[in-house]
Amino acid sequence: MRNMKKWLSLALAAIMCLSATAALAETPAYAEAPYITNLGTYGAVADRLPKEPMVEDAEYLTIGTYGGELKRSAGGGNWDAGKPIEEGLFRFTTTGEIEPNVAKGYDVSEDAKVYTIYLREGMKWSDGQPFTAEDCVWFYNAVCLNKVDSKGVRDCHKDANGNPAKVEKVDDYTFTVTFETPKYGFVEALSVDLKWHYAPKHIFEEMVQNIIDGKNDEALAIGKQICGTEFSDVGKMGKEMLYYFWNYPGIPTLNPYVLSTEEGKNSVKGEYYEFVRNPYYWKVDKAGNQLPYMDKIIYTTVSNVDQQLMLLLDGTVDYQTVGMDSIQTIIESGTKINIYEWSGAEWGDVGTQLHFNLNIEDEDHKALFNNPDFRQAMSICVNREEFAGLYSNNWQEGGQAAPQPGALGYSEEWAKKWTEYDVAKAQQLFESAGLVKGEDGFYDFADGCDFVLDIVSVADNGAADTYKILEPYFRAAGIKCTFKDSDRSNIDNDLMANAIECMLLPVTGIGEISIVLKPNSMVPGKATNVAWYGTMTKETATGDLLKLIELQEKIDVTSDAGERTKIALEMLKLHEENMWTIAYVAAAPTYHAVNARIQNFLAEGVWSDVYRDMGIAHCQCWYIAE
Amino acid sequence: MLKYIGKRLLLFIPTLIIISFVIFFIIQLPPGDYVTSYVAAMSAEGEVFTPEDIAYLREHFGLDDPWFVQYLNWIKGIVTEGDFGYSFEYGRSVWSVIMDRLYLTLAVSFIILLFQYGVSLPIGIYCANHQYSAGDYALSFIGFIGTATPNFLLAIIIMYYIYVTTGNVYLGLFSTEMLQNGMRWEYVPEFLGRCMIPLIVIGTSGTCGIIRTVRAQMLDEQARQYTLTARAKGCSEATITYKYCLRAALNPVVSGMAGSLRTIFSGSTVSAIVMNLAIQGPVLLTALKSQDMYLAGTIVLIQAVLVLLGTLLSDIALAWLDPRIRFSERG
Repeated sequence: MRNMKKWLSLALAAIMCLSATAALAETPAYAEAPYITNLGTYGAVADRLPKEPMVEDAEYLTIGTYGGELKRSAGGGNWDAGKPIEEGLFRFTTTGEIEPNVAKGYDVSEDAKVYTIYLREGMKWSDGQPFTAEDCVWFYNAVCLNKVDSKGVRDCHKDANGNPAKVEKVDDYTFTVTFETPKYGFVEALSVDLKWHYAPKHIFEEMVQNIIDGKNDEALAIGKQICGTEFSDVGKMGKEMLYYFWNYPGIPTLNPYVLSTEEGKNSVKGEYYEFVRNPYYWKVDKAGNQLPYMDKIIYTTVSNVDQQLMLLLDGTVDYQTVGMDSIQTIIESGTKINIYEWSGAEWGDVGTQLHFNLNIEDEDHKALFNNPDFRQAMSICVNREEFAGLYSNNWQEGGQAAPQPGALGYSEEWAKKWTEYDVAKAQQLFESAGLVKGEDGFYDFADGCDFVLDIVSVADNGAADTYKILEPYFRAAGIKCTFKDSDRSNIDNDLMANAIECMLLPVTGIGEISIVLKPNSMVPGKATNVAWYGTMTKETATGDLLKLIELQEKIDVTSDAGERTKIALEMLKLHEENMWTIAYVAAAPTYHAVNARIQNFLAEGVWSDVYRDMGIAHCQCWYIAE
Repeated sequence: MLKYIGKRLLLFIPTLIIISFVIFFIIQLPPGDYVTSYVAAMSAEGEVFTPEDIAYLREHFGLDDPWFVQYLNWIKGIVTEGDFGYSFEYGRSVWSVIMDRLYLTLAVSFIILLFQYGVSLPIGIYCANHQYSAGDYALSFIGFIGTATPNFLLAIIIMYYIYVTTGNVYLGLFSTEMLQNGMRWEYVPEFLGRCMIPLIVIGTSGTCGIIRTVRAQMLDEQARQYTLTARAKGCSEATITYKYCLRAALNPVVSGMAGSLRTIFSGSTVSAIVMNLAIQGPVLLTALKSQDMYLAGTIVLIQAVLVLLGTLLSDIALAWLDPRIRFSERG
C-alpha cells in the first residue's frame, strides 16, 4: 500500500512536469513587423508585449500582412486623427456591449460603490516605459482633480450627489475607483465621458506639479521640452498636451500609431504629417502577430471635401467618408474603391430637422411650441416624398426624427409618426393649438398678433436651399416664416442667450447611439447649444420634459442593467409621444469609400461618437492586399 | 529729397496706428469670439462643453477683457517685445505661424510676378508695334480671357483637364511623396508641372492690365516727336523701340510694381484654397473665420505696412524720376 502511494506520487509529479513542459512549449510565438526588425533597436517582440496581449479576434478579421501605409487626407488633427487610433480602458463592440481594452477587466462591489480595474502586466508606453496603475491613478488625482486638462472631473467620476470619486492604487496593475453612493454603469459612462483615464506620469509629473503649484513659467518650459511647442499659457498647454495628446510629437501613448517626431512630418497643422507604428503596441492578431499591420498613417492636408474626393479618386488617399452625391462620381471614375454603408445614430436627416425652442421667453410662442398639435401640424403639412426627392435628388426617402433601425427604442410606428401629408388636418391642428387664420390667409395668435416663425440656421450648410423647398409647404398651410442663416458662432451665442425661436439644421444633432450613454442632445440641461431645449434646466422644465430629466437621474441610481434599459425605453417613449423635434427626411447612412487595396474593413457598422466614429473599425487590423 | 522722405516716414506712424486700430476693431466686430467658434467646431466633432468650460476657456484666452484692452495689450506686445500675440487656432506664436509659410509664399508670388511681367511686356510691345494686326487681337483676346475668367474657375478647369487626361490630381505644389521623402531630382518634372497651374491661373489674372498699359504707353511714345526724330535720323526700329520708347513706357509699370509688395506677402487667397497651396492667403481666411484675431490682425497689419511702404517707394521713385514733384516739395 505504501509502495503504491509512492508510485502514485511519482506518477503525479511526472505528469505535472510534463504538463509544465507542454505549457512552456505552448507559449505563443509572437511576430513583429519587418519595419521594427529592420530598425534593430527594440529587442524581442515578446518583451515588448504585455504578458497577456489583447487579441483582436473579431470573426470578420483575416490574418494580414505587414507593411505599407494608410493614406488619408485631413484638415488638421484633433478628433479626425484621434478617434481612429484612440485606446480607452474599455471599448464598445459593434453590438453595443462594453469589452476590456487597455484594461484587462474589472470587478464591481455588490453595493456598486467600488470598482476594481485590472491592467495588463508588462504593458508599455510607446517610449518603452512601463504602463502601470500609477499612470491611471496619477492622471485622475493630479490632472482631473486639478482640471489641468481643462476638462476636470468628468460626469462618470461623480456620484449621485455630484461628489468626485476616489481613485487609488492597489498594486502596479490594479486600481480602484470608489464612490460615496452607488454608481451604476460606471464603466459604460467612463467609456463615453473619459475613455482613456491615463497619462504618462513619467513624462508629465513635473510639468503638472508646477502647474498645480502655480509655477507657470517652469511648467511652460517643461512643456516646450516635451513636445517642442511654445504655449501661451498653462491652461492651453494642459488641454493640448493632456487632452489632445495625440496631436503633439514626443508624447508617449498606448495608441497603435504615434505622431512622428521627424521635422516636417510632426505637425498636425502642417501640409503633411504622419503617425508611425508604436513598437510597444499591446495587441496581436489571432496568429500572434503584433499589430498594427501597416507601418504608418499618413495625412495630406487639404482645404475641403471636394479635394478629399479628388485625392480619393486618384489613389492619393485610401479612405474617406463620402456623401451620397459623391458615390456616383466614384463609380463613374472606375477607380477600385469599395463603398461600405454604415447606419448612423442620428434621428432623421440632420439637414432637415426642425427644432422649436420649448423654453423661449415669449409666453405666446412658448405655449405654442409646447403644444404637440402645433408640432404635429408643422410635421404633416409637408409632402415628405416630394420634399425628399427635391432635397436629395431622389437619393433619400421621407422620414421622421426617430431612432434608426437596430438602435434602442426603434419602432416603425415612431419612424412613420406624423409623416402623412395632410394640409387640411394640419390647419385643424393649428387652430386647436390656438392659432387663428387672419384675413391675409396666414395664421395669427388668438389676440390678433401676427405669428411669424423665425427660422435660423448655420450658414454654408445648405440650409438656405432646404428652406427654399420647405417654405412653400408652410406658406400653403398658412404659416408665415422668415429665414436667416448666420455664422455658427453667432448661432451659438444666440443659443446661449436663449434667443433662437426655431432652428433648421442642428448645431448639435438630436440622437445618439444611446440615450443612457450620451443624453446630451436628448435630455434638457445636459449640454449647451441644443436648440430644442435652449437654456432649459430641471428648475425650469415642466410636464414630460421634467419627467425626462427625472428619468435620466433615475438611471444613475438604478443598479439593474435590465431596469436601466427599461427606463431608457421610457425616456424614448416620451420623445416618441411628444416629438419635440421633427425631421422630414430619414437619416442618411454613412458611406465609407475605401480603396480596394485595404483589407479587413468593417463592412457593417454604426457611425457614432460613442463608438468613436471610424474608430470602431479598428484600423490597426487593416492591411494592404498583396 | 531727404526732407521729403523724412516727412513721409513721420506720416507713416500715425497712419499705422489708425490702421491697426481699425483692423482690430473690425476683426472683433462680428458677434462671438474665438471661443464661440472653437466650441462650435469642437461640438460638431462630438465634444460636449458646459457653460463653465466655456467661461474657463474665455478667461484663459484673455477674451473676457474689453476689446480695446485686448488691443492695447496686443500693441504693447508688438512695440515692447516684438511679440505679435498668440494664434489660438495654431496654438503658438503668431510670428511662427507666419514664418512657416512666408518663404513659400514669397517664392510663389515672386515667380508669379516674374511670369506676369515676363509674358506681358513682350506681348504689350508686340501689340503696340503691330497695332490692329491679327496677332494684336489674338494676344489681347487671350489677355482679356485671363483677366475676365475668375481665377478659381480657371484653376478648377485646368485641374479637371489634367485629371481627365493623366488620371492625376495636382493639388498643391508638392505631392504626398515629395512631402514624405523630401525633394529629389526625380520629383522635379512633377514639381514643375504642379507649379505651372498656379502660375497660369494667378499669373494670367494680372497680365491683361500690364499688356494694356504697355501697349498704350508704347503707342503714345511712338507718336512723340523724339521717336520721329530718331526714325528720321535713321535709327533702327529695335533701337527706337527698346532704347527710347520702352524706357519711357516702363515708368507707370515700374511704379505700379511697388503695389505688388502686399500681394507678394499674402499671395492669392481663393485660388490658393482651390489649388491647396500652402501660402499665406488661406491662413488669413481661416484666421478670420475662426476669429483668431491676433493672427488675422497681424497679417492684415503687415499687409497695411507693405501697402504704405509700396506707396512710399513709388512716391520716392516718382520724385526721383520727375523733377516737378521735387520742386513742388521745395516750394
